[in-house]
Amino acid sequence: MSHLFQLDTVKYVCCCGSLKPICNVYFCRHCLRLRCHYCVSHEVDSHYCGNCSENMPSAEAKQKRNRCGTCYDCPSCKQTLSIRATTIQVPLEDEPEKLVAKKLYYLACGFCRWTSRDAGLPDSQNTSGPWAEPENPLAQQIIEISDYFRMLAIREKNSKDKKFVQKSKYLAAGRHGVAHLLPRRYPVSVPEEMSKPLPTPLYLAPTEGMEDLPELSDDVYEDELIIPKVTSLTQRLRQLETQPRETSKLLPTHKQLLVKRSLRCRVCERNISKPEYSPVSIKFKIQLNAYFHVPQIRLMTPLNEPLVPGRKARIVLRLANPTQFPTAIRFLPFSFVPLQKDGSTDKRALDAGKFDPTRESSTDHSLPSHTLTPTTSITFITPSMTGGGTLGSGESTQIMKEIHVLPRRSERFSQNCDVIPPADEIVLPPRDETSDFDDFAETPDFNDDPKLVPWRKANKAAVYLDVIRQLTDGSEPPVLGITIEYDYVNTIVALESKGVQEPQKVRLQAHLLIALDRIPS
Amino acid sequence: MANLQITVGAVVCVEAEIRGDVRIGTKTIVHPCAKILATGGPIVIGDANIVEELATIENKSPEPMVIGNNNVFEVGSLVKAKAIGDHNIFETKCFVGDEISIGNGCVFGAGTKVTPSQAVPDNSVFYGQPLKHRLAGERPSAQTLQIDFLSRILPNYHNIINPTIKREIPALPAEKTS
Amino acid sequence: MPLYEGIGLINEKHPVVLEIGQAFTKAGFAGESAPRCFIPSTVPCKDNPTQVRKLIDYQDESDLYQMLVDFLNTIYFKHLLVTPKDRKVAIVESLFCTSQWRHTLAKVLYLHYEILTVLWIPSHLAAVCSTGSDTALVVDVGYSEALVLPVVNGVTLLSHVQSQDLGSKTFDENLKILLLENCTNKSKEELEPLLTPEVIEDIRLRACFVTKIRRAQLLSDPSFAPNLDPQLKPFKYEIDGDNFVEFEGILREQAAEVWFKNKDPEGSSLPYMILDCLASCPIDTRKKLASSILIAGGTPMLPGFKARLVRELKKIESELGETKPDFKDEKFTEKFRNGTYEFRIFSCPIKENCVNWLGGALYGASEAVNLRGVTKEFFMKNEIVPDWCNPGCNSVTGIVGVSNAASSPFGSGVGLPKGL
Repeated sequence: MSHLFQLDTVKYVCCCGSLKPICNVYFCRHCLRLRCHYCVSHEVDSHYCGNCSENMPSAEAKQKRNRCGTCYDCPSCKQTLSIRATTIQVPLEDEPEKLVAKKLYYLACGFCRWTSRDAGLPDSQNTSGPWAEPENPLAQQIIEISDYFRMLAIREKNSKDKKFVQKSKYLAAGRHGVAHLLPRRYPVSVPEEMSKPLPTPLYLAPTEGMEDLPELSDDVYEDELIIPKVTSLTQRLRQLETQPRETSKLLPTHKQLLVKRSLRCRVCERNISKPEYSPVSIKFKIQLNAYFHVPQIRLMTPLNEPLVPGRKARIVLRLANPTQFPTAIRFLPFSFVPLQKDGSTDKRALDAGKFDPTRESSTDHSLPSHTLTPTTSITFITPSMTGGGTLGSGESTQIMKEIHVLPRRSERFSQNCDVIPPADEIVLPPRDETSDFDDFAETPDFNDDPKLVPWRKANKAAVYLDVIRQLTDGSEPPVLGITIEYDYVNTIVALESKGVQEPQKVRLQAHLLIALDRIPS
Repeated sequence: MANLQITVGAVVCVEAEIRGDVRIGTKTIVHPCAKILATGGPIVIGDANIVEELATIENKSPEPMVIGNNNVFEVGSLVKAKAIGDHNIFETKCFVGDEISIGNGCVFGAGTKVTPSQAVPDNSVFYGQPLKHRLAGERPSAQTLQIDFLSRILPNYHNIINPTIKREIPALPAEKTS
Repeated sequence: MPLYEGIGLINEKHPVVLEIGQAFTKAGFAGESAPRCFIPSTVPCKDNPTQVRKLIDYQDESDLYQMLVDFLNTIYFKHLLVTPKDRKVAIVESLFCTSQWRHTLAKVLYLHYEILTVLWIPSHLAAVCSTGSDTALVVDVGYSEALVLPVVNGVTLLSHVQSQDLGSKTFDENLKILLLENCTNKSKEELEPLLTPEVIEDIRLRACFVTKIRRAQLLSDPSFAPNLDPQLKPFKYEIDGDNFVEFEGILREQAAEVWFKNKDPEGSSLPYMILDCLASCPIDTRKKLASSILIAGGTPMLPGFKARLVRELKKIESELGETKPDFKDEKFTEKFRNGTYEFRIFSCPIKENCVNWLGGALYGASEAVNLRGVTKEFFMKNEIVPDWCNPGCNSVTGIVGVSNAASSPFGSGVGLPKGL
């Protein structure tokens, strides 16, 4: 399928090692790193009902067990139920011979035609019900058991405060290794504590012997089995309290709520995406998508014939600068280094041209030893910043933190083509929204080498690139690995210092994998 | 000799495609572009049915196909059933095979396809993909208001076949050859 | 909104209780009487989102890690609707789940979801406490195996465990053979591709039951089977719009015989597993255990199961008392000769398939999470979750390689036994 950002063709390599198209990557403005869905922490922001779009405060949602107060799900097929009205003729109270029309309501499913009458529920005089809901008849007993356990746990806690006791305690119960997980039957083993009887349980589940468990009745053998009358597994599992066998016992359930999520950078713990509170709004309070900050790259012309290992070919990339500041882009050979704790594997993996960032790292958590290999190198070029020494240490602490807090992704990627980097940088002017609609806008002149930049318009430019296929197995589709280095103006510094500091200009890197044989949209 | 009998009170639009021996009961509405094809035996449609646009009722077998009362054939449904009782609903784009006999109060949900030879029990509801089957507690209610409305409105915008004039409709080409 | 999360009860953040089974996962909150969701343990395929992969079909550890990350993401954000970090977690796990599975799950919870404390509860203990009692013979029929495990006064008699591959997997394999044999309107070749695991599971659930012991004896002999009275009527099953399949009724009662049919005392049959287990238990516990059998797991929820199991146990026991010649093991019969046992089965306050989960929810609601939960710091430091089968965790000197008391998995001040 064609897509503006060429979802399958151009993939950005996130810090954690995930491969994502640009519209699925975020850019943390504080860490100046790419982040993705996988390596940020998700939080529940607000609850709402997907049917009535009604917002629900989380305390209320908790109280209502994450269910909407007004909407119901069909117990038969899980569609949303609608309320239907009927009128019946009822005699007036004072004049029984006179009939008046009265409105009654029932629930009906538009998909499988289940109605609340099928469940034997009487029609209601109110649109809001109330409709019977599945309930565990023994819920009270469960509460009693729960109370009992709490009491035991508190006893154990109290006894643990006496230091000398715990030593022998586990040995008393620990005949087998599961000791530390056993129920707390012998909270303490000092004689006087041991001799104290355990409190008797408030509720004990009854046991049933032969006389309480009658054999199946003859109806089971004589009646014909009609499958549609027996509930399916999914229907039962939607009513865990009762799990009825007959479809006639299915009861409507309140609709489960949905949530809006906010995303937070794990390294600097700042929000990367925060939706607006209202369920009907599709806007965001904070939305740091990479396509607002990182140069967009698209493949304009793919390879027109298969690339033989060792051979060269020419492709055209289209660059765009989405930011408010000019940028200069330089192409470099692919240099992504996954976050790793043990540096020894890095070089080997890279040399092979093929690696799996988590193959080693996700299984190997030898935390204390790690190398400080920067994943994206940041070179500060603004002189307003203080000396290089402190910068370097700030940089390394960030990488150390990333190594500790970022989850790593086991995404396999093979990169089998290299770029022959052009010597020149490509300067892109800032984005100007009006120029998008002005066909006759003046194309800025940057004195480009026409052998490098064949086309240019506003903040966009096309670039010729020569690629060369590695001398490896030629059967796999050609994938170009490329690193771009670009200027990024960090306005956050100026914002946070309230204008005391200048916006900071930094040099950032982004790593991309481009599938060369796909036809671009 | 193929002929079409329309009982007084039925509204059958001229644009509907009707072939073969077809009898249509009173208060039955046949929308334009509906197809009733008695390519085999005759089709006998009862009272107060609605046949919507692009719905197709077809009888290929030599046996007559008897359709009861108060049935609804929604847009794009294709029904070839052996026999149809009362108060059934054939939702949009459903397909009902030619080996099925349908009782009363059945619903064939949108897009469902039911072909195996069987007698469908009363108040069955088929729905979903993959097909699910449930038995409803009560049959769907009759579309009386809709029928009244259509029989008032449709003649305003479409030419209606006058039931009092007995007419012969051209036999199917297939029939001619046989 | 955190603003409204006032004080008092409503502010209490109940731990999340998770039971990731081989076939189904139950998730909910501690202190509640039923799980919030009961879903298949599957994740959508990466390449083809319309298909699903089972968690247990993982290829290697990193594959499992990814699947668990995706799976827990669905549970947290589609079903439980809470932020993972905010809640402690109680995991109800099988005693015999692989170390690889356990370790990977621990990594997902502690590292990816940054959960501070996780309480690991063996499922059989959880099951026992859902009855309020502390002694039970747990019969857990899961997906791949059936397990019989005695718990006496809260102590697991781990050495007496019995396990056989009598789970729903075996049941369904057996049912498939019966379905192929007993189909009346389709040939085996036509039917075979239609019988997907989901279809078989659905037939098991909707059609099968556990028959009476008297009929079962007749069923076991093929020459008697046609004389059964009454004969079960054939039934029709609608696989899809083109395939309505008819089956002989007899398979409805035959299918469950897989649990009972074995006459070999060493072999696989649920009653024998229970008796074997009882026979191996200390003599003073047998009577109590026999009268407190606890059924856990969804498969035995078929109608008639409990009634049949009790009668089957009684029958075998009485046969053993007479020392019938077909039981060679003298010792085994010896143990049952003198005592007459009363076999009784717990009737739990919740359906059998949620028993384990409910136990977890009871634990989770108590102080146990704080007292016995394994903290994130502990895991980060030692990279293990203490386990009964890991000798490193069970040495008398404490966890091997862990020297100071602060590194105890159970929060501050409470350590494993050490320094004897």
